[in-house]
Amino acid sequence: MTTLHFLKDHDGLAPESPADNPHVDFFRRAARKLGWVLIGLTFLGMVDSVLGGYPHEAHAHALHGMFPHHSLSSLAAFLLIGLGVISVHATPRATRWLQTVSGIAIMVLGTVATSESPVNAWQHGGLTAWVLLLLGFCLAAGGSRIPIIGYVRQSVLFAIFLLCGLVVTGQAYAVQGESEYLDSFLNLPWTTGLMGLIAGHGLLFQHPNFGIMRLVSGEGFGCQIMRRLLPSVILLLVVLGWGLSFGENLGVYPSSFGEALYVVLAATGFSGILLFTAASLNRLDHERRAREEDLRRSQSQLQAVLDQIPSIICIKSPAERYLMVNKQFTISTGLAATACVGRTAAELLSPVAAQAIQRGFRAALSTQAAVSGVDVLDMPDGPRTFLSAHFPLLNAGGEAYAVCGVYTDVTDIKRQEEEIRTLNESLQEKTRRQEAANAELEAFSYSVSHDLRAPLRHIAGFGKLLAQRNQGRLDEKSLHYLDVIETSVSRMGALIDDLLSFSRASKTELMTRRIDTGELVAEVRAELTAQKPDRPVAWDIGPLPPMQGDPAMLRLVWMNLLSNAVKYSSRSEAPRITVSCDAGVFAVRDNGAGFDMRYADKLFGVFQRLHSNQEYEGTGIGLAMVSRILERHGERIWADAAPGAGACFYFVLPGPGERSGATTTGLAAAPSAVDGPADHAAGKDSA
Amino acid sequence: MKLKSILLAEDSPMDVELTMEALQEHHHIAVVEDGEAALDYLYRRGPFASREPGNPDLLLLDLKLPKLNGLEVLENIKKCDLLRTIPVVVLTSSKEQPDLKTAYELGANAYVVKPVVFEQFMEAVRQIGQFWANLNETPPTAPSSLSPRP
Repeated sequence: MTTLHFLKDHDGLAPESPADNPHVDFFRRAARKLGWVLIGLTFLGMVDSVLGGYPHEAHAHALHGMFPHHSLSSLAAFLLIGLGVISVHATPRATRWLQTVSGIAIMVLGTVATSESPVNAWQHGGLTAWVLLLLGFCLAAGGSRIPIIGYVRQSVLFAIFLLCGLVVTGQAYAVQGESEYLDSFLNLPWTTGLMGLIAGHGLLFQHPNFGIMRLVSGEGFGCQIMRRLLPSVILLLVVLGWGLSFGENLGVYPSSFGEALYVVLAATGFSGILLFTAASLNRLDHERRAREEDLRRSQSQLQAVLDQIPSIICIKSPAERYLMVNKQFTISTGLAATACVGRTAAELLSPVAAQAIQRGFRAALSTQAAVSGVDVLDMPDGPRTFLSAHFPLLNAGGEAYAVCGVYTDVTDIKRQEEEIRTLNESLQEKTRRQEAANAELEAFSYSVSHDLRAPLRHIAGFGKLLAQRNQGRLDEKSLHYLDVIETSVSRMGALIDDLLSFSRASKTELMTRRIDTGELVAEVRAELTAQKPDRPVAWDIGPLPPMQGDPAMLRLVWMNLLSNAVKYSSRSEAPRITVSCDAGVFAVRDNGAGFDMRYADKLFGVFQRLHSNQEYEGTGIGLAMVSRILERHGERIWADAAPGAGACFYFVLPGPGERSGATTTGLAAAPSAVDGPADHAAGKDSA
Repeated sequence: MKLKSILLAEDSPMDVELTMEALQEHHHIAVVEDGEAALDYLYRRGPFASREPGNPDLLLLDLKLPKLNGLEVLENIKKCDLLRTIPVVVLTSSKEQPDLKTAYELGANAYVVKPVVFEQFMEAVRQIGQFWANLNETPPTAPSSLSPRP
């Protein structure tokens, strides 16, 4: 039973499979070569026939007697067999027909040979006819695809081997004189037997994948043993037998000793062959184990990878039964792998999920190509969204023997995408509101610019006209009142202008470029000096690195800081202003009034002042604007001061090529009350 | 010597009064209170159809005018071959950059922000009158050819 099982499942007597191995090719090539040898021998036979004559004739040539010279029809039959064998790789259908027709022709020729022969079928003409009849059948049957005919054909071929083998070995061992029949049988030309053997092997090797030939041409160990042992054993037996017969015929040793010698040599020879085969098999077995170990390791790695991948992976047969599932499959479905293998999706999953899976599976199977899609599947923990991909696994013949399905759970990604979309919408809504607020602010600024200034101008103008009209008639008190009106109007105008500047600094788009800081500071200093030429200030300006930013805005920064320094140091005995840069931090220091660090949190607020207008004029906008501009460049400002001991303002600005956190619009950013380290935070008002 | 004529387009009576105060002694001043009236005056149509022919020597133009605003008036004037040579000085409270930019793009000859302080205002208006109306020369036009636009 085991053998039958083995034959059936692996190397059995089954029709040829499309997957050939190197040995199959070897036998096919061998078949063709044997065909050519047969054709060659046939030609030699024909030469023999043409030149020949009978053995007793004096002019007999060298080939004489080697061929069945009395039968040209049998030579023609062998020629046809040779042609039939070499045409094995021609167009299959044509080959089959050719082989069938040739086979029938050979059988006819064999019959003719029989009719030509002497009456006794055992005489060599008759035996040749039998051989040809059998070979003709085998050639004709070679084209058939019916297995039973194939098996009969192979059986007949083995009968031919026995017949021809006996003829050849009988001739080789010079067996004669023991029986009349045997003598006439064994007196056949050995070439007939040889040609029969060659033709038979050619025909047998024509179908190396069929029947018993699979045991020789296959990849299994049994096949390897067959390939190694069979030729060796046959050769050993033939040689030993021939040696035994030869020695006995020469009278070197008596028959009984020859038999003893035969047994010993045969045992030794077989032992040697078996030892060699065993060693060879051991080596093959070792290699096989190594390959199996490699395969096992490779499979283990593959399984580990498959199990670690957070996607569901499964392989299904064309009958839609699971062949393999990975760990994620078992986790997602809550089913054990053993419970899944051999079953269908319909048996394991919900109808909706099974239908979705079958759709992808069938599409991949029918199109023989990868198919991808998005499926929502009902899983034990609720519906999940999967990115699915199905692709066929193809055998060497290009046919799908299975389909692999990969399902990647993208539910979380989808949810995140949805969240991002919602956030984006919310952000867009905020942006719309922001834009609306900006537009309102712009309208407000425009209104302030136009409408608040006009009444001020009118108050100032008509107040002045009133004074002019009543020149000399107004008392001192009235003139004072008009002065107050004028001063207040002027201050209100300055407040409006500063407020608009601050608004502009917040909303104007930044146009950043490289700025020569030293040059900019020198320009600002010159402007300030020109405004107050009578107020001498000692300037100490160190080397300043270039900055990257909006030139107009950074000019406002320096203008505010330096004019503050000039203003608050104006009451010092020897006003001194130092401008320096250390490790990217700019510093503007003065020896002026300074301020109390307790109020530092008010320093950079809009309209926040730490000195009265009587002490130092100002609107309380300047430092707020400086802070806002630096903020828009992604940087900050801080200060350090003490009352009566001067103040120092520090700020950072990126150099060209450095990173900056600049914002294109500063409306969203409100100035913080205190910038920079708490111990440096300080306050001072604007120019 | 004939007084130079100035057209003042200004909707605020107080600004008109202050401007007149600065200019009237030396110029002939016509006042219109909205943009449409300014164009009517220049094209001699509607209520101004019977005015004496000829272009003013200077147009002082406020931007925030009823009906047609100052920029629309400016655009119209600079597109008209017979009016484009009139010097237009924008006299406004607005310091807004877009206003400034648009005014110059449309062909304004000068843009002056009205100072809040009285003396500065008076001085600015006087200098405008002195320069644009008195010193500045404009090419001769054929006022009689002026007719209402279709």
